[in-house]
Parts: sequence; C-alpha cells; structure tokens
Amino acid sequence: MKKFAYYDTGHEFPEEIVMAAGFTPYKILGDVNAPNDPADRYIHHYICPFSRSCLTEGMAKSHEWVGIAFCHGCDTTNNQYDIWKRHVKTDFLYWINTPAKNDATAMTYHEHELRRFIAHLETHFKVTVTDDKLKAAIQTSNRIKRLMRELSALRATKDISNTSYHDLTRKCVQMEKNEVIAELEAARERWRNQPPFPPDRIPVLLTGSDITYGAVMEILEAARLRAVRDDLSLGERYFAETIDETIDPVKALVAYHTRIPQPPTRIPFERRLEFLKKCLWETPVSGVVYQILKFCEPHGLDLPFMTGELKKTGKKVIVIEREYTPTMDQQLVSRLESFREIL
Amino acid sequence: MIKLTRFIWNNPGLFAKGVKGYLNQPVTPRLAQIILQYLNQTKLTVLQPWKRFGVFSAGFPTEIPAAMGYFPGYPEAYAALTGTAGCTVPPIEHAESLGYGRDLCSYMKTSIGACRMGWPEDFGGNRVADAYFSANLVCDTHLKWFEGEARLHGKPHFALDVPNLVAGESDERLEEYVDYVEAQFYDMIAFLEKETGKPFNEKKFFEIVNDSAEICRLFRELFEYRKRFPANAYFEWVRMFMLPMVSQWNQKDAIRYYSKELKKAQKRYKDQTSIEGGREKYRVLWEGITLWYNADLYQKVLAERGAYVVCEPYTYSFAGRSKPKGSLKETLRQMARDQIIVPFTLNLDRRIAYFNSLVEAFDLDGVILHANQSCRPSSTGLFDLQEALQKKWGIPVLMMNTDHCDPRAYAEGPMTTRIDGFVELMEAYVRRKGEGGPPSPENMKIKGGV
Ligand code: SF4
Ligand code: SF4
Repeated sequence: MKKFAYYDTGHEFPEEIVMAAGFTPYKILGDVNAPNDPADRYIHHYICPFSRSCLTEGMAKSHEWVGIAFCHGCDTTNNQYDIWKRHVKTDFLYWINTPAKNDATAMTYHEHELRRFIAHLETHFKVTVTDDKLKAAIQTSNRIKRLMRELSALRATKDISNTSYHDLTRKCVQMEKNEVIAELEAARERWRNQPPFPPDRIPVLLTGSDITYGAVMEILEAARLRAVRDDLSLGERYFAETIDETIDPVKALVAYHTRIPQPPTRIPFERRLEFLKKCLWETPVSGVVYQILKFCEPHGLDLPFMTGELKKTGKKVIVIEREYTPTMDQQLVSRLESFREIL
Repeated sequence: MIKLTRFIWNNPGLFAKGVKGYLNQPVTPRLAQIILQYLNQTKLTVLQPWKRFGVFSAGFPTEIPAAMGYFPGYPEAYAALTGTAGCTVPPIEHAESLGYGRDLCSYMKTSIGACRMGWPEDFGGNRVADAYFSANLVCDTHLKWFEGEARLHGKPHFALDVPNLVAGESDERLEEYVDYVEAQFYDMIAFLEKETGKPFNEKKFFEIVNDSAEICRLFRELFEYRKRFPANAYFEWVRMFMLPMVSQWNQKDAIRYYSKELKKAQKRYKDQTSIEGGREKYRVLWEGITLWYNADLYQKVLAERGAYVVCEPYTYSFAGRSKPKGSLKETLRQMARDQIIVPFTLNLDRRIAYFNSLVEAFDLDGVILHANQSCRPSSTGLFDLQEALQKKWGIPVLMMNTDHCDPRAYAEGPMTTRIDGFVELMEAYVRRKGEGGPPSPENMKIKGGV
C-alpha cells in the first residue's frame, strides 16, 4: 500500500481518513542521525531542530509518498508549511487547519475541515471515501489503540524497557496498520512473559516534548528510570481513547480529538493536566520527568504552569532540557540519577 | 501610582536609566502626553470599579469587548515601552527564573517578570485584569501566555482561534476561515454578556468600529507620505507614533491627533514628490518587530551612515481595520478578514509579492530582515524572502539576528560591522541603479552571521 505522509506536532491527524482512501498513513518523524543541513538553508538554527529534521526528511523522501498533509500545530510547524510548499517536491500538499480549541464552535469547524480534506483526497486521487470505509478504518485504529493500551499497562508490572515501548509507538504511526496489529499481538505475547518489574528500576510519569527517537528513552534507562505512563503523541496521547464506532464517522473523529490527552498546542491547559493527574492516580509512580526539546516553544510555554500544578500533587518533578542528538547525554543521565536518588 | 513610587524607591538606579531611555525616544510633547495618559488611565482603572479592565494580545479585535466597557490594556505595549526605557533585562531574568526558557518571547517574559515583581505599567507590569483576551492570529504564545495569566489570577479568558491562511490558499478558503472566526465572535459576545450581565451594545460597537477604522485610515494616509523624498517619518518615530492606533484607547483624541499630523504632512509636501532635503542617501525597509531597546540603531548607527527606515510592515499591520458594514454580521465578517490577512502574518507567497511591491513603491535601497530569536512567526521564511528579493531586485538584504525586547541578544560590535558591510552594498546598489545597469545579485549577499 502506498504511503501518505503527514506532519503533525501532536496527534491531530485523522489517519483513518487516509486509510479509508486506500493509503498507509506515515507520520514524518525526521531522522536524528541525519544532519539538518538541507533544512538549515531555509530555517534558522534557533527554531526547533525536530522540525528542521522533518523538513530534511521531506526534501529527501517525498518521492516515496503519494502526498503530504499538515495539521495546524505549533507556531514552528504552522509557519513552515509555506517552506515545504517551496522546497519539498510533491503533487499533493494539504493543510488541515485543526482548531486550537475544543468547544462546540471549534468542533463544527473541525468537522468542516475533515470533510474538506476527504473531498480533496477524493478529487485528487480519484478515490471514494465512504462512511463504510471510514468505519472499517476506525475499527482498525481502535484495535491498535486497545492493543497498545494493554501493552502500555504492562509497563508498570513487567520488565519492559523504555526503548521497546518507544519502538512500538513509532511503528503505530509509520507502518502499514495490519502489520502493526501483527507486531503488537506478537509483542503482547512476549511482554506478558517478561519477568516482573525490576526492583532496581523506578517508575516515572514521562511528559513534555514528543520523543521521536530512541536515545532519549535510553537516557532514562541508563538512569534506571522506567516510563510507565506518559502523555506523548508517540505514546498514550495516541491510544488513550478509542473512536466511537456507532455514530457518523467524521463526527466520531472530531469528538475523539477533543477527548484525547491534549497537546500543549490546544487550550485550555486543564485538559492536559487532568490526564496527567489521572495517570498519577491510576498508576503508582515515584516521580515525574518533564523533558523539553531545546527550542520547543509550546512545551516551554506550558512548563511553569504545568510543573507547578504537578508539584501540588506531592510528586517530585524534574525538568530537563535536551538537545536533538542521537548520542547519550551523560550529563542528563547524571541529573536523572540524582533525581532517582531523591525519589 | 503606589506601584510606581514603590518601584522608584526600590530601584532608583533603574528608574534613572528608564527615564533616560524614555527621553532618548524621538517623541514630541503631544505624543508623550498621549502615552502618559494611556499609562495613567491603565492605572486609574483600579480606582474605577465601574470600569472593566481587559488585557488583550496585540491585534485582538478589541472593538467587541470595548463596546461592553472593557478598557484595553496591552501587556505587549507596556513591555515595548519598558524596552525603550532599557529596563527589560531584570524582568526577563525573573521570568526565566520561574521556568520560562531563554528562547521564549521576550515581550511575554518582560511582562510576566514585571508583573510578578509588582512593577508598574511604565516598567512592563500590569494590574490583574477582569478578563483576558487573546488570539493566535500571530502566534501561539498569545494564547498560552494570556491563558496562563488568567489561570494564575482566577479570571476568565477568551481565546480567539484564527486559522492560518497558508501559501496557495484561495479566496474561497479565506471565506471558510471567516465563517469560523465569525462564529467565535458570536461566542465572544455571549461570553461578554455573561461576564457583564448586559446585552451586547451594538450601537456603541458600531461607533467604536467606525472610529478605529478612521484612526487606521489616517495612519495609512500618513504612511503614504513616507514614499516621498525625504520620507515624512522614520521607524524610530513611527513605532512610538502608532501607540494611539495600537491601543485604540480614547479614539476621538487619536483621531484629532492623527488628523493634525496628516494636515501637517499635506502642508509640508503639497503635491510634490520631493521637497527640501531631498531623497535620503539610503532608503531601507525593516521587516519584523523593532528593537525597542535600541533607538540609537535607527537614529544614530543607521542615520549616521545615511540610511533611514522608511517602511516597515510591522507598524502598518496595526492599520488594517475596516469601516463598519451595513449589518452586525457583515461587520463581524469583515473584522474576521482583517484578522486573517495582516502584513505581519502573510504567508510566504503573499509576503514575497507584498515586499516586491514595497521595493518599488518606497524606492528602497536595502532591506533589513530581523531574525528574531524569540519570535518564531516573524523569523520563519526569512531566508526564502531574502532569496526572492535578491533574485528579483539584486537589492542588499541584511539578516539581523537579534531580539525585539531582549538586549542581551544584541551584539553591538559585530552588528555594526555587518551594518557597515550592508551600507557598502547599498552604495554599490544605488550607484548601479543610477547608472541604469542591472544590479548583481551575487554581490548583494552579506556573508557570515553575528
Ligand atoms: S518539538 Fe515542539 S516546537 Fe518542535 S515541532 Fe514539536 S511541538 Fe513544535
Ligand atoms: S513577539 Fe512574536 S512571539 Fe512574542 S507575542 Fe509578538 S508575535 Fe508572539
């Protein structure tokens, strides 16, 4: 199946629409191992390195994708659509202006945006996206979300490394969906038979900028911290909720996106905070790791309020800023180890 | 007043520095009076409980809340003035100590730091508002910043979600966005009715819209005189002169003031393109927010080299308000259009076309692009803009990496060296233009960074 790429700083993109159109959705996640030089010709160095990596990937790999869609996300990505339009070769570049709010007006508008996207896909690719196809795609998505919830829950009781979990979350948004289901089912068998949660590891809640490469998870592992809950887009934001299979599928997608753990690009703050508090209440964790990618503005803006509120729960919170690099940052490991000591 | 007295008592050195900074601005006594009146009125709202104090992000359609009695407070304006006073570093550092990162908006950090330290409006702070209003028409920072302040003080916040009209979008698409923004305007009216317990005052609304359109018309007309030789005004003046338009406070007085200024310009130029003094040696466009802390960059460093900023989309962006239409619905729809298409936030395709028109209309010799380290929206797309301008015109373009409100980001020595290089390129460009020969794009690049 051909790949349809999307650029999304949260979990805004309606993968199910692309699946119903007969494509495999592929989330652009950049490549931390590749230098950002191609993108640096168009974007200043003080702008989010992850976004520059995504542009670099877009410039190099767009020929592998039938089209690309953007969702309204952070300021960084919103303003980069125009740069992609100039420098990334594709026959189909589409902008979905997902709303920043979740109220009734925003939901009506969001529905319009999704129906418009469907209409453009149908015209451009000469396909039909019927309600039945959408419902089937939603069922597939829900299956993945349920499997991921099962797998994710095992993190708190079994010896599941941070990286193993991260690898699966990546596959969910980049691989063909039936293959994902097979992978997840196989992982479920493996994970169920893993030894119990190791006594030398400390369970934490992981939040902050989206983690798009394994090295960050390895840093946590090196500090003997285990992320047993999170609200990341490559993580629980993607699977915490299921999509209603009983109502109009487009309306179901709109409603779904208001229920998921909110990214910092949406307001109000409370929705994100509620989910994090729910995690703390549901799962015994010893502390919260709030990590921010350098130059990640939305998380930088959320940080003072969110950390203040999280500290009010009585949990210890550590804030770390990380570079966009595949190498193990020993300083971060040491800081996290010290944090571990006080937990 | 109490806050100001306390500020002076606690920070005598900073206060003296601030006064010096303020005095270094090229403002006339009349403009100084307007600015002071605005600041004082902001403070006086504490003593006028029957008035509601609203805090707004720049460019927000204040006409709607103003019709319901909200006084327009602008933290960015207070931060900008603090920038002119040269006093932003302590509040910025204070905000950073609270967890706001170095790369986040320096307006926001100035405001948050100054508020937390209890500084008065003249030095970046502001009193707690009755309600907070913000829109993401330029940036997400506005939404998050004001939401955060509202949460902190337990006050209501109204967020206006303005879609991005990205490159290549059609007029039909614009109207879809207008539908969404219009629907939110009705939500805002409902929000205001709930907050005030009063029905929406349509009559007052139309009067305010009419006045704000008139203020903008006068400003735009005055802006036209900057195309003449010499330009009627330069950036260091216009950035202060725009305050009555930006604040939309005491609209009648703003209309009187701008009308007088327009008359002066009409008298000065009559219908001549060039008057005594003639064309500036170098006519420059500035893209992005001004360096509030550095009036001397314009009035000394550039001016001493014969370069003057005669055009900047930044100030013009505040002058886009239209006249009321026949009905509330149509007026709101027009306001929505005015929110979506603003020179400061044009998509890259429109931005390049707009700049090309400015190069001709203002007879420019150079362009300075402010790559603003704490403002993503105004920094993104600058390389493409630079390339497009150089390709079409061969015009020298200086990419200035610094910050609008944080002087720590301004490296004076290297910057002056680059300005010297820029001026040399303008000299060659002007010479070639005079000879009628084509400018050479390769020679117009300024190499290296600061
Ligand atoms: S890491 Fe942060 S700044 Fe970068 S694209 Fe994601 S949300 Fe935007
Ligand atoms: S300077 Fe930039 S980031 Fe700051 S408020 Fe203005 S547009 Fe937003």
